[in-house]
Amino acid sequence: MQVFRTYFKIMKKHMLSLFLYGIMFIAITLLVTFQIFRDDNKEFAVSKVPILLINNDGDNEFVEAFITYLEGYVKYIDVEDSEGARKDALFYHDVYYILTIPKGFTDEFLSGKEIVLTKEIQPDKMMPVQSVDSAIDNYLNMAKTYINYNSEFEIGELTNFLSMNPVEDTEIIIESSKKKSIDSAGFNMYYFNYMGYIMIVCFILSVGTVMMSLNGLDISRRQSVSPVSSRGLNFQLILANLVFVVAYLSILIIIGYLANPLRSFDFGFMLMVINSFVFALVTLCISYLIGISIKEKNAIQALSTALSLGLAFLGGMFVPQEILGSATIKVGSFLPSYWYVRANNTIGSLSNYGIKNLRPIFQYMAIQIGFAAVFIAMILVVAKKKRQNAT
Amino acid sequence: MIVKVDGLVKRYGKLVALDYLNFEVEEGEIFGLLGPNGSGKTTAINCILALLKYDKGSIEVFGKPMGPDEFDIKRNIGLIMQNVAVFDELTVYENIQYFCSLYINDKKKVNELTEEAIKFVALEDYAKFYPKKLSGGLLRRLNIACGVVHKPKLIILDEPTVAVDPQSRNKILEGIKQLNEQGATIIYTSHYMEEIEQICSKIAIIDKGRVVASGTKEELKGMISIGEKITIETFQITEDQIMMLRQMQNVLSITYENNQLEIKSGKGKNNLLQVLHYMESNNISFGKVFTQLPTLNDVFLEITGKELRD
Repeated sequence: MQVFRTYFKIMKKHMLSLFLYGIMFIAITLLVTFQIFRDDNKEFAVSKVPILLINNDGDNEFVEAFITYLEGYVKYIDVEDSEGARKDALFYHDVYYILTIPKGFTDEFLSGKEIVLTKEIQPDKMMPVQSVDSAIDNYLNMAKTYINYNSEFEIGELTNFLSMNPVEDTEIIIESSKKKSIDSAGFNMYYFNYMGYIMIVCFILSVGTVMMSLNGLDISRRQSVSPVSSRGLNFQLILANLVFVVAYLSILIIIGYLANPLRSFDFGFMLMVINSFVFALVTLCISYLIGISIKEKNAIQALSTALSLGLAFLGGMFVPQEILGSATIKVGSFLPSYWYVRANNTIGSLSNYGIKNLRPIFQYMAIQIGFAAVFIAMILVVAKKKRQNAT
Repeated sequence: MIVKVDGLVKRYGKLVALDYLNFEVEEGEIFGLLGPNGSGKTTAINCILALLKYDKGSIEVFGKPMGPDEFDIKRNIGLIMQNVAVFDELTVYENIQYFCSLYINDKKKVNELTEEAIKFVALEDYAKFYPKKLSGGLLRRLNIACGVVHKPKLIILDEPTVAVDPQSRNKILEGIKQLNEQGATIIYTSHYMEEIEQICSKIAIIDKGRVVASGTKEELKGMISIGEKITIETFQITEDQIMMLRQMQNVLSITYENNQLEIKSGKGKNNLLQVLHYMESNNISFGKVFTQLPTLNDVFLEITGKELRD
């Protein structure tokens, strides 16, 4: 296992910069996460949620009653009628929620059909957003129950019934354990999203640099003439990379877990851990590819900065995906970081872990594994070309 | 027989890099592969080391066919390349230790051999230094230590002195002789004829992928017509007098440039005396006089019609 040992000897020389990067990013990540976390709790307690309502169903008795009901929970904000203005309003926290009532909503709802109200949310404000969700769900469920038990009803009767029987206050019905779990998931979601950036930077810098040293043209020639088979060399290298990545990632996860004041080792947390390991695999492949393709160590530093920032911004690690422009989302969907963040966001917003809810999460992980497969294919091509050039 | 290369052909597309190359290296020899850049020396070495596939021919090392998975053969080969192949992140000691550990599993033995190799290249004071802190000459010595630390029976040195200062070059050449004295067979490639002449017991001159001549340096020099080169400094010689000299017995060619008269003579005695006698009797004054035996460059020039450094 001489190559395995040498891998870590070389890695040791980069440990200080790796450690400093890690500490710096973790500190920033925790700072930002705690800030968001605190804001969330504070605003939830003291104010109504600012929302933008887009009513495409026209003015009718049912919709008007619904809007009036929601006034108890939200504050309606006027925003210029353009997609850009709406995205800006979300980004600058002018509104936390954009609720669109689609055309034909009243007719379809009253006839008992399933209809979905479309929404765009500010993911930094998960707590107030979820309170609005609950208020809407409660109102519509109450209306649905009335319709089911009264086959012949007038809209006026329905709206009267709903106004006479107010649904319970959302803030009150959230049980303490449930609230804790929502907070914990929110914290994890932010931490794991930012952690993706740390992974990209640190893995490219460390794995890329070590692989570049071990795969240098002349070193490769010297190793090729030794009595160690290339299969044996590659096995040791892959094993060393995996051990390093698992160890580094485990430290990041443990720090995140311990830093979470409402930590709970629940299924959502486990899913985020699995998702981070899948993303670590993709990042490892990218780093390996860079390590065997680049000849200059300085180039690796520049590349790690450019790639990590690009992947983080386009993938929605810093700016939430919900408020990214549609063009950015389209570009982002061709990047593994986008699917990593999307999986985290989906896990963070889950309230139950049924198969139906979990399926998209596993699909997003599968897409990331697909990216890893593409990078592995590229590694094989570059490695073959390098072997030919070495002679 | 340590190495036997028989009818080796290697093509890169239309370019023929090795054209039915043949040579044999006996145990205990310092075998020199001499040729200009691009003559096929490194390609031949890469084929011997199974780093490169070839189109035709055969290679035997230690009496067995050589291949990429012949690990028993590889265990007894050491390679020293033109470029320094060491890790910047490891110290001198760690570098040598690593390359030794690729050949030997016993950790204690590895440490012993590492220390021996450090002594051999006289890097004891630099064992804890990182390569970036070493001068060019010291780096070359580290490169050599990494290639010979496992005490191979066959050491291949591919142009190890390119861009090395004269002092370090001499140390490297002395080291190679020492390794040979300790029992290693050496294959040494270079386009520096002086080095090849200085250390090699047998030489193959290679051009365009073929061995154009081989033997000891004396045998090679004996193959050509030039016996010696006479250089005389003179300031007043006429064209007629040069003509007369040219017609003398055993004179092969004469050139006169920058007050230097250069005469190439065939094999035979009294070539110099004959020329000096003519100059004295014709009152041609002269200053410094040099006489030189033919070099490997002359051998190469006569066989291929071009200089080694062309």
